Amino acid sequence: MDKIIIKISDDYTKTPGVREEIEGDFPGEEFLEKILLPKFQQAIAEKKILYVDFDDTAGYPTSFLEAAFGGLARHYKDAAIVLKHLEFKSDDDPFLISDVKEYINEANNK
Amino acid sequence: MSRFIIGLILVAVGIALGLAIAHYYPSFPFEDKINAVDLITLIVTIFLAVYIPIFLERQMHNHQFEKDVIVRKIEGLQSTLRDVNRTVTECLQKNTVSAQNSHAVVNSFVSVSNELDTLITLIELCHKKRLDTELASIKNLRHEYKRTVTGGNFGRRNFKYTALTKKEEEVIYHKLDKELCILIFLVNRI
Repeated sequence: MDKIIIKISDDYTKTPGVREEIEGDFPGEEFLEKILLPKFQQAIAEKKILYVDFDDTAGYPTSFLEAAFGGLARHYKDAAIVLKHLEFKSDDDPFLISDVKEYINEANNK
Repeated sequence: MSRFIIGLILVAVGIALGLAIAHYYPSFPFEDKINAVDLITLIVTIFLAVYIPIFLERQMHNHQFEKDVIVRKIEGLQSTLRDVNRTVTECLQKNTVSAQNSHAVVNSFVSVSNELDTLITLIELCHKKRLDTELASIKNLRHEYKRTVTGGNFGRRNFKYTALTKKEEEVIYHKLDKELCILIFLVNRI
């Protein structure tokens, strides 16, 4: 299956920040609204996989990841559909992918 | 190979010495017959003399070396987690979390992930699947710890750790540290 690629360090920031826009720079919510969600919708429409590359940044706080990827799962109200169209790459942090998948799975349980 | 040659030389020297003693000191009596029990004793003694230093000791030395590397890695991981714990304590005492503190904490969690990943790889390589349960528990605690320290409003301007968050962080930190201490014991027992 073809892929649409997001490399967070190139397409958004090398220093991912907080949860919400009012809280500080480069928030997860802004990343969701401006990049992740439009690309995800495009991937679904074009029957493609959205490939998210997490490498080459200063690291990801839980607040950013939860807002972005948990937020995406909350938008679709279904973790399965989100996970089905996402693929991840994280060589810098070996447990980041499992963390993100957990935020997606837990997003609609709250 | 060199050990084999040295062994052969030593056997040759032994035979030569025996023949020389028999030739120059004929007063030493030599038996023509060999007792079966003595022969077996001799063979077993030679086997043990060769087997223990060459094979068994080398194997034991290799195992000990592997354990030492794993224990050093566990201690390294404990040290990184201690840095996070100290930073959170410091932030609570100062009642502020600077951008520098935030970056240090996030960076430490990247290190924690990589150190844990290396540790799991080494343990699986040396001890196969025997410590799977313990490692799964440590992985879960790492996830929980990161969520507690960098979740919520972490990174927000004027973000502060509350006493309640600190207490929760302290509980998970000590659980994680305890699991890692137990892992050192288990690695040493294998």
